[in-house]
Amino acid sequence: MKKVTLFLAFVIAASSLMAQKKTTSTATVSFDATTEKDALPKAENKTGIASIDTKTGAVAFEVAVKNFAFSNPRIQEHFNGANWLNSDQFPKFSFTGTIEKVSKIKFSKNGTYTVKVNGNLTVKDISKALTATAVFTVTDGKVKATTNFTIALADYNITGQPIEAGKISREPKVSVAAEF
Amino acid sequence: MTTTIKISIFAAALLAVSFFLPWVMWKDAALSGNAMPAGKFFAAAKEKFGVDNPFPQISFAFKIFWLIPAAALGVIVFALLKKNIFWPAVVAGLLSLSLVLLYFLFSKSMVDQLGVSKSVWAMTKPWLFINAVAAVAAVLTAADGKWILKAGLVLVTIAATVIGFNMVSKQAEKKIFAETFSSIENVKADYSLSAGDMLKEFLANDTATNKKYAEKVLEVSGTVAAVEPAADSTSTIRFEDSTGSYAIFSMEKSQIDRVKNIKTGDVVSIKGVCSGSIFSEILGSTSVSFKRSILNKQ
Repeated sequence: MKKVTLFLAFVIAASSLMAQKKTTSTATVSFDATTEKDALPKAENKTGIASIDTKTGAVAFEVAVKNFAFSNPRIQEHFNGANWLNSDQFPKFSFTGTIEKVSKIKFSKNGTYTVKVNGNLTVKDISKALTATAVFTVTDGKVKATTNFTIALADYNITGQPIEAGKISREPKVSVAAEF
Repeated sequence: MTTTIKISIFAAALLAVSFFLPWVMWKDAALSGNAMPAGKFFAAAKEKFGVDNPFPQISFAFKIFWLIPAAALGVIVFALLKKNIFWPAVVAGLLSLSLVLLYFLFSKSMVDQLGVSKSVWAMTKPWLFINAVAAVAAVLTAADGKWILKAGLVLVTIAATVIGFNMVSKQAEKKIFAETFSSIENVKADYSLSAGDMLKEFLANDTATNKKYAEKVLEVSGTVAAVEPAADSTSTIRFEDSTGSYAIFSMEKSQIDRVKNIKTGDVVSIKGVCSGSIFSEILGSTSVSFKRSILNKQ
């Protein structure tokens, strides 16, 4: 069972209000693999690239692995290392998907809409299906989208002693927040 | 010459020779027993794993391991002179046994804590185990009889090394994981360049440029294309070229008051840690991102 919940967030710049595809390059993506034993493995990346097509419901995001900022130098190095995310070889994560029943969201009307997003998350060139719940908030033409989901590290061939030892969660939480 | 003495000579010779042969392989660096007293052990640990000697004040103590080849030669000389080899054999054997354990336990802790390899066995070389066998053989053949004393010395050495290592590594682990990144405010930039030149360099050869700049501190000047403050006191500033490629800086929280005064069109210089480039399928352009960035004093 791939238990995954996905969240997406988007805000639209006023100038692109009329366009059906909206993008941002300042989406926040957080990664949280903390466990009871270790509170250190978590980080944020404020430079995620995200897009939404308000007509077709197509959504996507991309994020540079190396730009996740951890508080502890060793954990950051570890996260990027060859046995983990191998960011030298695979510099980004990406997601592409579609909002189920995008017509439910009235992009021209203020309101909060909870929708389901189905798609594929690609990490280290391995793509896995991901379904997540996303919340879209429309405020005066601006769209804010947020989603939370978990990923199973084993799906992406990420294993190792620190995971076995319970220092890193087997299913880290990922959250994405974007404004269009 | 008795068989026991012959074994002693053989074990001592093996100890001395294998001391200089590869014991462990850390990435592409082979370390032999002499790396520890020569001061190369922690130098390699720092280079390959970013782990420094947590207690540099005791580095001089590692020189004691030079006694291994010296005492092993002593065993051979004493044996040929038909003298008592007990002390040199015990010193060479126990020190070597303890050194072998340190190499093994240290490599294992790198795997356990940092995930540097799938398993410690992938890092060990045969000479590590050959040396361990020779070390035990040297102690057990150091004298006739006295089995309880000889076996006791071996066991006490193993126990003391394992317990000592665990105590020290617990302290070291605490120290390493308590560290946090400090501000780069007073760090001298590795490179200073304009946003346009930097983007050109990434677009011309992204592999080489990523290698050159990754995790380096860059001082980049350019015309601000966008400033986006976030709710949590962080913000991003971006520079663009004419093709839509851009550099984006995640500013530190400490910068919020200064970032407030920056507007699109301002010419500023920003210092940040380069996270390299990605090609965005969404935007159809290249972006170079930076973390822990600060505004340079004007």
